Amino acid sequence: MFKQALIIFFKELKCIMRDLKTFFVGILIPFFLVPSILFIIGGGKAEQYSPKVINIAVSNKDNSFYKFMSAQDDIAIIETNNPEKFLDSGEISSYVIIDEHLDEKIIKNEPFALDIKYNEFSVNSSISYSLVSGYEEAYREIFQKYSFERIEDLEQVGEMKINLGEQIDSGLIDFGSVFFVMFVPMMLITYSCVGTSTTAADLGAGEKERGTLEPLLATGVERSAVVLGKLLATTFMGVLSSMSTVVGFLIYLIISSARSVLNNFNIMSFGALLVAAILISVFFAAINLTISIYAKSYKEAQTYSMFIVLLAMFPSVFTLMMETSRINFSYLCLPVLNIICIIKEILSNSFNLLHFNVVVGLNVLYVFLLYLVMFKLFKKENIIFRV
Amino acid sequence: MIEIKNISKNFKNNQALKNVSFSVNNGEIIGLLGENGAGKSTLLRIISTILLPSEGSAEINGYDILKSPKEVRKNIGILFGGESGLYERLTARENLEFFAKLNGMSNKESGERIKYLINKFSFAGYADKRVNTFSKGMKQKVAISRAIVHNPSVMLLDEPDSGLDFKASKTIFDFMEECKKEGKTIIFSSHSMENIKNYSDRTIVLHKGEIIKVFKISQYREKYSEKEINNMLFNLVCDGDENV
Repeated sequence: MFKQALIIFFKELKCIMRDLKTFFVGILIPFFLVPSILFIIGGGKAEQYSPKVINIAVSNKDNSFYKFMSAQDDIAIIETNNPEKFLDSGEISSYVIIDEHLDEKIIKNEPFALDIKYNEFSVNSSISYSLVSGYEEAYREIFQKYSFERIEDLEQVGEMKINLGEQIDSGLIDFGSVFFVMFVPMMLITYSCVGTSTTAADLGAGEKERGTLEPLLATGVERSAVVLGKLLATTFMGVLSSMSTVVGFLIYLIISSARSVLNNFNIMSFGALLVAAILISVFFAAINLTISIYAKSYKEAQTYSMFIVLLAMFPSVFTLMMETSRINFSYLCLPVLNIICIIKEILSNSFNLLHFNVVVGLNVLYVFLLYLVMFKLFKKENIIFRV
Repeated sequence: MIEIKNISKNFKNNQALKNVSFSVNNGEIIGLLGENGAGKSTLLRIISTILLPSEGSAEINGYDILKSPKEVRKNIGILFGGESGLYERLTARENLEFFAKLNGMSNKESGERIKYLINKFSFAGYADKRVNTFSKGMKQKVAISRAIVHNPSVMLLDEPDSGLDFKASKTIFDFMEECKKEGKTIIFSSHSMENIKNYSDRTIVLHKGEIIKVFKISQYREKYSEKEINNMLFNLVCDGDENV
């Protein structure tokens, strides 16, 4: 059976490689498209999102927090009577509303309020928020460690310099990496699905439509070998698509200086990412080929596959902002979602071997089950000859 | 040797074949005549194990199509009607090589056989060109070669003369005559009464899924003119008029 499957596999590959349309859609487009899209979304080099000094405004100045913030080299406090307007226009990145009786409350050891407002629709403002809130945390920590009995003593706080700004340069706001971890799983999923759908539609429904399936089945070849050969060929194209997407990612990583990812990206992570890409390709190859075998025509198969692409986008969008710490066992059991989870773990340097093995095992099982479904469909004459 | 035993085939609400029975000896050519939808292609697909009969069975060289489909497929070569069924992105030679491999032929065997078929059907000039550049006639020659690349003892040819010019058509039927002399069993269908009359030893007329007549053309030639025979065949095929 395997020998026959290989004969079919190599024949299919020859046919696919001679079709320029498939070659362009499956290999060249992801290679160029992925870095381009990431650049457009991520805005190119990470450094442009790392301003040296962040402009903020405060609600009142007569307090230790104002003095503390003024002391920081990477914070500039802007005078304004209309902070909301300044936030909208981008002249300031954050506006801090300081408790009117801040210093008195600190002395009395009472809780105090520091409310940071930022423009949620501005990338720069969002980044600045994390820095300003970092300073707020640092400010509060001071009072957890030390107690102050007189307001005059708080003058010392105004002289404390904390070099949070240096963390900007060391990768705290490494936007290349942020976008990479957010969008890579989604693009890998999308391209694996698209890359296999064209080939699957051609090898299943396309073959029925062209009338080449009957002569094939009239030979001594076993139907299970035909299905396996076609699955291998579809998977191969999916893997090529995924690989060219991964190479596209690497180009983006290198050019965008996405340091957090790049620094932690080694041969092992690349290998793990490649295994994940292969897994997702095999899975989508199996799904798309099953659909294609069922479909009456190439067009019908493509219509169903488009639905699958849209369906695959859901887990991608669902996990877009997800932290790897939130990954639980149920996520690892769901197809597609589980691969997104391990890709995120690989890219965020929180690779978990147990998760990885569970996902590999489950996907092998899913593909095997799909193979059985394909084989069943392929044996039904009302399915394979319903053109 | 082919033995067809009470084969019926139902597709949803349509009965494509009704109790079809006949046998074909080694070294015999059977011509199948019938309108479109008479059941010719369905019958050939069942014999080749592509479709399963709803009732009945058949034996090819002693192998039952239901019990030993794999053995049956080894013994038959089938040309399907309609589309040529060739892989358009492959060359003619690559198509033949692919089917030879699937039929378990060694590279040496297939090389020799393909060379023979290319010369036999005169397509050496375009054997290494991709099929998508071929005319219908060119494709048909390659498709016939593909069907018999493994040198089967039973040949099922659904409209082998479709799309062929007179010369190419004659080449195909002359080849069938040669195969007959080698003891091979051949069933072919055609819409050409001339080819049926000239090349079949016996003719089977199918009408709405039923065999309505089995005859040797020679028995009519003694009594009737060619024109009268043509008229009778026309009435048989189109109206199912058995009173011929």
